Amino acid sequence: MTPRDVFDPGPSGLPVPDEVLARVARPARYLDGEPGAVHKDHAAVAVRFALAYPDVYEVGMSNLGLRLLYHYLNRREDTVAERVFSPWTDMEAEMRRSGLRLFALESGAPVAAFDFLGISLQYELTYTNVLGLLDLSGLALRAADRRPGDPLVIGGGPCAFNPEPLAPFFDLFLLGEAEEALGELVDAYLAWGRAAGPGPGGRPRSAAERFDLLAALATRVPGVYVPEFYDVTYREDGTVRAVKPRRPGIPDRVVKRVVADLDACPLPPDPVMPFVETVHDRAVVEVMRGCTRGCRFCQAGMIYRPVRERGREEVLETARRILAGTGYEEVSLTSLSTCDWGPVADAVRELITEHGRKGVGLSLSSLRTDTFAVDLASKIQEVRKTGLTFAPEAGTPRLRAVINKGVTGQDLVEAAGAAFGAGWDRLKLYYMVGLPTETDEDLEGIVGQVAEVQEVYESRGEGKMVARRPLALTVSLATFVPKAHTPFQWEPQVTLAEAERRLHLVRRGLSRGGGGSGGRRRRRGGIKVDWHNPAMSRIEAVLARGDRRLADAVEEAWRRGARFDGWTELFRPDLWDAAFQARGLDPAFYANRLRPEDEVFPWDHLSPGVEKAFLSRERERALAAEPTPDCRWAGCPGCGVCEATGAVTRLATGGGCR
Amino acid sequence: MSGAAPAEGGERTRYRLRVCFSKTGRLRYISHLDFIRAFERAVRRSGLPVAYTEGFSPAPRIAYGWPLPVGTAGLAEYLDIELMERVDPGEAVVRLGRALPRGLEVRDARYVSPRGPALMVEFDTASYLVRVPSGLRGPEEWRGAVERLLARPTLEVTREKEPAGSPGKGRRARVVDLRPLVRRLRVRGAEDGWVTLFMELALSEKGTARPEEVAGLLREAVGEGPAEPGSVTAVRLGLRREAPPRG
Repeated sequence: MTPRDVFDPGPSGLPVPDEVLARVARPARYLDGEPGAVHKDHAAVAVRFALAYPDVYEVGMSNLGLRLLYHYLNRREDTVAERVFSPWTDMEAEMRRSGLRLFALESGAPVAAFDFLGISLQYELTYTNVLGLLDLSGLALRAADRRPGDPLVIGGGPCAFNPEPLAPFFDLFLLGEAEEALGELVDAYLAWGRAAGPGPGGRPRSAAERFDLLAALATRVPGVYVPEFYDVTYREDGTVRAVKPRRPGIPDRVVKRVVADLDACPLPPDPVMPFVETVHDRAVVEVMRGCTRGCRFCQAGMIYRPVRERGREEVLETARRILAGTGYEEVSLTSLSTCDWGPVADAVRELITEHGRKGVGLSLSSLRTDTFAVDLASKIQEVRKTGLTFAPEAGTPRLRAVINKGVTGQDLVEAAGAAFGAGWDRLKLYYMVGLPTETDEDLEGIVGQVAEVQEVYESRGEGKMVARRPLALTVSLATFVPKAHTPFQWEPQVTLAEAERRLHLVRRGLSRGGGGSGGRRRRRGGIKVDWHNPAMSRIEAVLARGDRRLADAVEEAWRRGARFDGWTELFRPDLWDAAFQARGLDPAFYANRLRPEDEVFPWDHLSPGVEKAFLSRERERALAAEPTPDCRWAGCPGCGVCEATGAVTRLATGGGCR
Repeated sequence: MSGAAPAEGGERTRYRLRVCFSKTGRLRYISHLDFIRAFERAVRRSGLPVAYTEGFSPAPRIAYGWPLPVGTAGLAEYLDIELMERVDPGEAVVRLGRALPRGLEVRDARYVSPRGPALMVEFDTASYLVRVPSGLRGPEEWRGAVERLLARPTLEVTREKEPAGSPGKGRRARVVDLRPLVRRLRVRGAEDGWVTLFMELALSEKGTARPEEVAGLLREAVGEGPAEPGSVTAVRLGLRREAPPRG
C-alpha cells in the first residue's frame, strides 16, 4: 500500500471534504455506511425521495415514522428514499463558508436534485430548522418562489394537523399515517408525468405545470393538503373568519389517512443501525397505534385514533428478526401506552425467555402508573436494569379528573410500593403545571404526593432488614401547552410569569421536604427537580395554535439566527420576541387567549377524524371534572374517528369496537 | 501462541482470541465508543460463542486497546474477545468479517494466553503516516527541520480543553512536553504540496502525543505557520512493544 492509497477515503468518496469532517463535532453524523442503509442508482429509478428530519442525526434516527417511511419507499423498485438531517451549527457554518449544499446521506446527492423533499414535523420548536433545511438545500423558502423543477416540499407528522405557521413554506402536507398514502402519492406523480407531458418521473417544466401537478395530487390522493389552494379570511378582531378552497375539486376539509390493519404494514426487519449513539439506540417494535384513554391534554391521544394493535406473533417475529439482523442489546416495545397492548404480559415473558439469556434487555415505552406495570418492569429488570418513570401529570384527584388522567393517588402509592418492594431505589415522576382550572392547591398536591411516595419508600419492608439507601427521586415539571384538536384547544396557556411562579412554588415546596410528612423529619434522599424551560413552552404554544400570518415571524426568527430552538442551550427567546415585534404579531394572542366557543380555528379544515363537537363536549366534562372512560372497555363516546376514517378499533385478541 | 489456550476463569474454560483489524474509509470518522457499540453488535450477529459479563447490563467480554482518535484510520489495530468454546481462528475471521460493516475489516485472529498482559501493556508504541501541507518548503528543508526538532531537549505544546457541552466557556490551557513521547520521526516523501511523515509515538497511561501536534511543531520548525485546521491527516500503521517485557 503506497502512502497515497493510505489516505484515500475509499471508492465511493465522501460528500463532505475531509478537512471539514476533521473540524466538526461528531463527523459520523454526516456519513452513511451504516448496516441497513439502502443505496440505489439514481439513474435507474423514476422517483427520488429525500426524507428529512429537522434536527441532528441522533434525534432524527430515533424517529420511528421516518424509519418506516424509508423502508416503505425503498421497497418500491421505481423509487429511492434517502435520509437528510439538520447539520449542527458548526457544520452549518462550514457549509456556508465553503458553499456546500445540503446533501442526502446515502448518495451524497444535493437535496435539490430530488423529486420530493419530505420533512417530518414532530415538534413546533423545529420550525426554524425546517427553514434551515430549505435554505441550505438552495431552495427558495416560500413555495411560491420555487422553480418549476424544484423538489415538491411535503410536511407530515403531528404538526401537519395545524401546519398553518409553516403553510407558505410547503407545497403540500400529508395528514395522518403515510405508509400507504406516500405510495399513492408517488403513483399519482408518475401518472401525472405520463399524462401531462414530461413523462413518468419527469419534473414540471413551467409554473403552470407545477400548479397542475399539485392540483392532481390534491384531488387524487386523500389526505393531501395544498395550503396554496385555500383562502384564509380574517375578522376585525384578528381571528379567522373562514378557510375556503379556491378551486373546484379541492375538498373543503382534508381528512387524515389511517392504516386500518397494522399487520398488513409489517415493520422493517432490517432497520438502519446507526454508528452514532442515537437518543433511542435500540431495536424498536411498534406494538400498537393510537390510544383511547382520552387524556384531554394529549394531542397524540386524539390524532392517532383509533387503537390498532399488532398481533402477538407478528411482534415476536419482528423482534426476533431485528435482533438477529442488527445485534442490538435491547429491544423496545413502543406505543402510546404499551401496558394497554393486549398480549403485553405474555409477550414480555416470551421475549425474556427467548432473548434474555443472550443478555438482550427489554424496555416498554410509556409505563402506566399501576402495579400491573411494575410487575412487568420487574420481570424486565431481571435481565437488564431499567429506570422507572410514572406520569401522574397532576397533583390532586380533582385536577386528574379534569384532564381525564385515570390515575388515583392510591394507584401511585401502590405502584411505588410495588416498585420499591421489587428493589428499585430510583424513580422519576412527571407532572405538568398550568393545566386548565389549576390552583395553588393542585400544585401543593404535587408536593404532597411526592412526600407520600417518599413515605412509602421509608416504611417499606417494615420489620425486615432493608438496605438504608436513600431514595433517588427525580420530579420532572413541564408547562402545559394547549394543542390543536384537543379538548383544551380553546384554553389559554398561563403567561410566562405565571408559569414561572407555579414552577417555583412546586420547586420550593419540594425543597422544603414535602408538606404531607406530618412533622416527622427523617433523613431523606434529595429530590432532583428538572423542569422544561417555560419560555420554550411559550413559543411552542404560540406556534401550536398559530395561523398563516405567523409564518412571517418564523422566517424572521430564523433570519435573526434562531436554530435548534428545542435545544435548551441554543434556544434564544430574545430572537423570537424581536421577530414577533418586527412583524407586528402578538404572541399572547396565540398563546394566552381564551378562545370563544364558536371561534373558527385556523386548523378547522384539517381533520384527524375526531370531531370538534366531541372535543367541545369533552371540554365541558373537563370543566365539570367528569371523567370519560376508554372506548375499548366502555361505551363509544362518539369522537367520530371511526366514521370519518373508516378504520375501527382493532385489538390483538380479536375484540374491537362495539 | 497459536494453540488453544484455555483459561481457568472460575469453573468455566475460556479462550482469548486476539483479533487484528483495520478501521478505514468513512468508518474512521466514528468515535471509539461508536466503534465499540458497532463491534459488539457485530459479534452478536456473528454468532460466535462469546462470553458475557455478569451483572445488570451484560456485555460481550471484549478488551479494547488504545483508542483511535476520531478521523484517524488504523490499519492494524487489536482487541481481545473472550470465547466460551474454541472456534477455529480462520472461521472466526470469516464469521466476524461477514458481520462487520464496510470499513471495519478483520485481518487476522489467533489465540493468546488468557493470563498474558492486557493490550494496553502489550503495546507501548504506535507508528503513523502523517500527511501535512508542505507549504513553500521542499523535502530537504523538512528533513533539516526534523533533525533540529529531535535535537531539542523539550517539545512543548499547549493543549486547550473545552468542557463538553459548553463550547467557548472555561477553556483550560495546559503545557505538555512531547519530547519523551516521540520515539522516531522522519520524512517519508513529498509531492504536490504535501509532505508525508513517518513517526513512532509512545503510548503510555501518563500521556500520549497526537500526530497532528508533532506535525504542527514541525511546521513551525520549518518556518511555516500553523496548518489549516483539519488539513493534517494521520493513519495509524500499527502497534508494537518497544520496551523489554516487564518482570
